[in-house]
Amino acid sequence: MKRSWEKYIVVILCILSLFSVAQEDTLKQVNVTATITPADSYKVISLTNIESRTTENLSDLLSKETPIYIKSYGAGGLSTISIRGAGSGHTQLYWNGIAINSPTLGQIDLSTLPISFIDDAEVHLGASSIIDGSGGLGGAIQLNTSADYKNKLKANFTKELGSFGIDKTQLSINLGSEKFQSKTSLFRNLSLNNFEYKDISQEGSPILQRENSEVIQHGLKQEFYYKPNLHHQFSVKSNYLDSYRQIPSIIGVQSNGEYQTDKILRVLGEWKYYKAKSFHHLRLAFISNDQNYIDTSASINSLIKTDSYKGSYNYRYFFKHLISLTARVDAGIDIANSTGFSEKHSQNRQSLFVQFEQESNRGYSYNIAFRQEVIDGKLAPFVPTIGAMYYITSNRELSINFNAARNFKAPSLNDLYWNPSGNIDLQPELGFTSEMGISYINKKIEFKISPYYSLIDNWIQWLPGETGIWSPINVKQVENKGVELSLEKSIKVSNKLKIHLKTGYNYVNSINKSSIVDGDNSIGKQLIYVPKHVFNFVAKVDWKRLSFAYNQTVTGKVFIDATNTTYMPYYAPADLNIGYSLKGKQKSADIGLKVSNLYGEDYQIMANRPLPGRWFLVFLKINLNATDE
Amino acid sequence: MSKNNLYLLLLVFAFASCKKQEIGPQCPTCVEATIEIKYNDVLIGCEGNFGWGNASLSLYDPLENSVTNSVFQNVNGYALGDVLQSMTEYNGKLFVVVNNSGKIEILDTTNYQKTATITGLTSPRYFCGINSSKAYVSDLYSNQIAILDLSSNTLSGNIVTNGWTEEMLLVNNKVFVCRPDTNFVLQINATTDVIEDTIVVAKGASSIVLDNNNKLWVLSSGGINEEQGELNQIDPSTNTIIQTMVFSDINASPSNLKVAPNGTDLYFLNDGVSQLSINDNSLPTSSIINQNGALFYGIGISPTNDIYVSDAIDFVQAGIVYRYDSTAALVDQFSVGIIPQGFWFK
Repeated sequence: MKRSWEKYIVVILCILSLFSVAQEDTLKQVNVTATITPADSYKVISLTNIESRTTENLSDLLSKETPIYIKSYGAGGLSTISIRGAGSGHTQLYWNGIAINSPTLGQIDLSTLPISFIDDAEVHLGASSIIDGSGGLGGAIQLNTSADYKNKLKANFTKELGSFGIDKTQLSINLGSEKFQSKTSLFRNLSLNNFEYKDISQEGSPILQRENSEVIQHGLKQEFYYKPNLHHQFSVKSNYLDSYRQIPSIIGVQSNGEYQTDKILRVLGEWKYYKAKSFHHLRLAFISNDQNYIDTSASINSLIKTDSYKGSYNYRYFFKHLISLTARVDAGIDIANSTGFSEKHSQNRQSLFVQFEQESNRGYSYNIAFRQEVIDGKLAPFVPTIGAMYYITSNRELSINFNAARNFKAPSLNDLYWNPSGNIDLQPELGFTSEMGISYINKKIEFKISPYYSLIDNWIQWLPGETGIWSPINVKQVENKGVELSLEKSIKVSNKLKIHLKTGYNYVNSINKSSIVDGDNSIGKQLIYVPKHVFNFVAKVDWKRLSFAYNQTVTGKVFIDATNTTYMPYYAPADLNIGYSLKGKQKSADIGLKVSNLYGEDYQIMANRPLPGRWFLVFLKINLNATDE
Repeated sequence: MSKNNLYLLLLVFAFASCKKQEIGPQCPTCVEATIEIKYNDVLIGCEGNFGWGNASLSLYDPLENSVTNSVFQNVNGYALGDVLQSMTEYNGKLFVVVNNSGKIEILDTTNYQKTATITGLTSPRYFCGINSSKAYVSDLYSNQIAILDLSSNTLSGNIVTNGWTEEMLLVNNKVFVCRPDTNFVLQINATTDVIEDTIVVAKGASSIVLDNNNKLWVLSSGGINEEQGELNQIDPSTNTIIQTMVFSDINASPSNLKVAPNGTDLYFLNDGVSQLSINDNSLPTSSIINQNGALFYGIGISPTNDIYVSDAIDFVQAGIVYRYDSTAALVDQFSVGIIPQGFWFK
């Protein structure tokens, strides 16, 4: 832990030294916020102003606000994401443009991403994940933070108390001027998660209390932003998470006192330089992850330590207002040491991304892009993408879009170097994805429908070899066919009553097309833990000082064996939030009640991992706001 | 609020109000109205995935060639547990060791109803009955062999072994125990529960059988490509090795030694099914049944000398059992639960 902090300080100092190179320029500002904005043809789900939302964590946010399937093992357990029928390692997560998936596992546990570390999230589905990097065969999620230079002082203190020992405290202070902003956030989350559940593994299904499921998380976020003039913006962003989680056993298995600690440090220095026709963006990042998993009864003490150093330079040039060329160069190294490795391993990656975009004032736009990555000196598969969008009506309310891309996912370090059975001959998983969508968007209503098709080849799976030792192999080809529907509507009944409705539905038929396994009876069958149907609905009603939010998700049954003989039933939990605001001139307070699993549904997402029935949480939020409106 | 929105809201509440009955993993095809118990039943132990709680028993009728899956759940009304390790018949009861659940389900062999459950074990592997009131249970992680009191079905003590213990066999009041993470076979006095001797074999000793000359046979895998595997014939009266047969390929991983009911034919898995006679002086050079790309995971020899071999395929789908006759001709094949690995013949 001490070493992490030392590194933290060194990196901050290095990045601060960049500030001195800032120079004065008087050209007009080009309004670009993100480095590479998704082209019009791409499908993106935006979730802004995350801190104000009444969700617990990122997995909660995504599962409630979008019809995306989250595989959650319950409190304290792993939480991963599956987009468009792809595996959890096929969703790449980025923090301010920096890939943060574990280099050893290739995937990320969403429970290591507290909400207070994030301002906005963007889900890039299918082909649109190419703009961020490779590996997002299902999609990618961008988690971003930004500053509001109008802010003078904004402070808030939040306290949440809930069932099963939930006790959360958060303090955040954002202060600054038109040139400088600082954002600080500190939090502590405690929960015992000792809820009652029905033990279906025993005769008569007795009601038992969940054991060994305590979670203690501490976190700190510190960000500095400096904007000396309209052309330059510097920032140093960092967050640190110290997490302790007990790992509860499955139903019917006595607790072995398993637990896991994670210490994760993420630091990023950024320089954005805007000119009339161009935009430069330089990023340097350091990510350190220390994970320790302990199972005393099985004498397992597994240590995984990864350090990643990443740099990215992005250049965008606007030929005319509507034509632009973007080039991005990335370079980085992941260094990993694990109890599962015989020695320390590292992986070097460099990549070049070029995107050309044209938007016509005749109502169409198109984009062509490619990415070429080099991994440990070897050329990775070439990744091209193409997309187009056309406004069908002259008022630009109805549009049609199309895109297609090739993509790949390189094997993780565990796949390559696990001792004794890693497979250095593994091929990258290859993806092809295409979609066509229709959108109808105006001030009152937003409707989108996007059918898609994707193919993942060389899908990696761990199998025992001839000698019985498990080893990763490029096993199968998976085909995903689906459609996503979303409908959003805002109704302003009066100044006092506002209603916002949002609903989404995803259908995916995800099947195993072919496999190298002899006698495989899963060909043509739906993949395990991929629901065909996911539906979500959010209704928010603001009436005077009261606010109500109702949330309903329905996740269809998932098969839990590849031959589709056993399944987990559908589940449809709902949440209700009631809040009341007390508003002063510069001070305000919110108090509220949250009822989770409103109908007390008895359900599991992952087999034999129980989830709590109806539970409650009360919150108090005190805000101090000295910003000029 | 317009009418449409109202409909939408109604639709949502309609969704929310339809209550379901199913909780946890479901298997609609496993549920049969009645399970017919026959005199020549074959039970197939299906390990299930670690941490998924989907261990199960499949029942096969070799006369009708019919299969019933999830028999334990059907008969007893709850799931078997997490990771089935072994099934051992003793005193008319079937002891089903469920490894990660740390328990043994004791079944009545006439109807597969649970008669008792022994809990509180760490990582149990195999059961070895000593007498009507005493048994040993080997363990992967506890560094001990658990001693059971069969009159109360509780733990009554333990024998410190300092490591992983696997298959066990009782001969003349001596229990021979495989120690797979070493190259030892331990010999315990079944009355005093004291380790009296250690027999050195090859690394990875995991299965042990008794032939009709009252000689022991121990199969060692040689570890993970560490040493050459060995098949050792041991005299249980003197604890000495009578003969040793060495697997020439260091990468070979022989496992699952079984003896046919006649007590003279030995079978094991080694990239296919191998067979030899207890009178042979060398290992067979070829398999009697080839894997042909499959991965044989378990083997059992029936009282009628049929050879049952299981294939776990990709370990997340219903496994397959192949039934061959004594001449290695395929008789039948059928789908069972996840990761079939053990057989019990009534």
